[in-house]
Amino acid sequence: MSVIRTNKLTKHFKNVTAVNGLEINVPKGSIYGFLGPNGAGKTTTIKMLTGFLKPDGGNFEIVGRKVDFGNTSYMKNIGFLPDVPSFYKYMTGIDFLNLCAHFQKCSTDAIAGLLYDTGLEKVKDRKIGAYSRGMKQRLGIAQALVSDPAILILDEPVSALDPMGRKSILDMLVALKGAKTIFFSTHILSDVERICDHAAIIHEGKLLLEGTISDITGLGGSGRIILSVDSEKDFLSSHLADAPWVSEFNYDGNEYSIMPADGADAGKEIPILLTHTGVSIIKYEQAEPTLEDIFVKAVNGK
Amino acid sequence: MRLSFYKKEFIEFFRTYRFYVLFGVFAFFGILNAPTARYLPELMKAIPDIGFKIEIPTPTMTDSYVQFISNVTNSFFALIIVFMGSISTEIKKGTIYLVLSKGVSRFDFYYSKLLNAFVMYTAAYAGYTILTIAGTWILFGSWHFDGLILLILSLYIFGLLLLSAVISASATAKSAGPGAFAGFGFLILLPLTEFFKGAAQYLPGRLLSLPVNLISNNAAGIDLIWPALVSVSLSAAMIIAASIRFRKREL
Repeated sequence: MSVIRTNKLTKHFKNVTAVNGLEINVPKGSIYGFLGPNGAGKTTTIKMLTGFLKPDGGNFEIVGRKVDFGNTSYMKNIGFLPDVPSFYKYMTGIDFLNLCAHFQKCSTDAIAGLLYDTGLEKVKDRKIGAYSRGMKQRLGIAQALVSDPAILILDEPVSALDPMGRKSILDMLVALKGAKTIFFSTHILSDVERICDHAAIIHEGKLLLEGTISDITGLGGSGRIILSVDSEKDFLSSHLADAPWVSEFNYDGNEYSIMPADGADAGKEIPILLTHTGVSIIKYEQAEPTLEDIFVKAVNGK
Repeated sequence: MRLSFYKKEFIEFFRTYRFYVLFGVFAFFGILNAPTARYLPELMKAIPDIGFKIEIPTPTMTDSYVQFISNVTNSFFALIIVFMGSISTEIKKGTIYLVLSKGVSRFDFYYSKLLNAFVMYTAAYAGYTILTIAGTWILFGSWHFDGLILLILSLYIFGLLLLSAVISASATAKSAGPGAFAGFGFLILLPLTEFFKGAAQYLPGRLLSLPVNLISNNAAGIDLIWPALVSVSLSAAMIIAASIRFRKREL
């Protein structure tokens, strides 16, 4: 069952089409990574899903119910974190969470646990105006969870966090897996690979790929080839640049990292190329395709 | 839900600068009205001879209310400044997103802001009035005249109209500018409607000129009815139109 389903969702801003006929299905209980480069339409999509922007075309359903713009009653079942959460600076962290609980007519019992889980326990009585950006992001996650909602919509939830903070929040989201449906946007591919079971990749407002992580990575064909040779780097580089079976490559001074457009061709052509140029292989390694590989291919239209 | 958001608005008002500005300005002028009326003539007399003689009448209790009328305009400036960004600032800063995502309806959000503004204005205006009356009683020994209630009511209704314009503009704008523009625009332009001789007696601008005439016994209670009705109707129209626009606007 789809908890969030969009049907040809479209949004224009003057002459720019920010979201273009988007159709996504977020299964119940999934952790769904909504991927795209900056400006892809992720935040615009989320603003439509949360009732802040009116779609210019198409529609969406939350738990099977079509949502009309202006009716925000469905938000009672959703925990939402905007990309840049803003708070009332004069309040303390705990004041704000208590206020959220009152708004949603839910118990305040969970607040202590949320403060602990988000690492805000020691600063809970400090005014939010004195919080760092990372603390505000954590408070944003805590407020989204106050009412124990069935659905979480999080816009770049760990973008402002340091590595330790990112890990703790991602671990927290993983712990909710199955119990809640989590839809989160990001451009950090490793986060999606780490915690998501489903993902969609959008670019310029259009859906490029959607499915389970294994389905998506399975679409990538061959993975990246790591090649280290003993000499003739310039000559090899010029050949790789012209080769039709190369999607992209780069050379870091020691190794070539080659993303093949066609893995089978690459397997045949690389030995021929090396024989032709007369260089010796020091290292040849072909990795499984990663989400990053798929993302780059999809965004580049390959 | 409604109560908890209103409670938040109420507490916020006292925990931010807005309380000090609004109540401070109204209280300042409220305290000043009676002493200004009582002692200004004496101060004028103390001014050195400038070549011609100024006739300064003996101050009376009603002079205190002339000051009341004059200074209420200054207090309205504070009213506009305090409330011009009530809603637009929440949109601009982004604080509205978390509130509305908690199931607080736009209706509740808008009307809580409006209710809070009306309550705070009423309290500040009441304080201003009480301080003036108390000062008048202390310095002049009496404080009441026949048209006093109508005078107070007339200016109070004008303030409500002003506030309705400010909040309505704030709900439909992206910044505090339109709220200020609406407030100061009303404050400056409405008195000019007194030039429309045929219609002036029905228009809100009369609420500002009527109090002086009440003091000089040149007006009666019946003169307040039409401007008051038009002002209340105009306020309601602005409030309802803005609430519809706010409910449908993108954020």
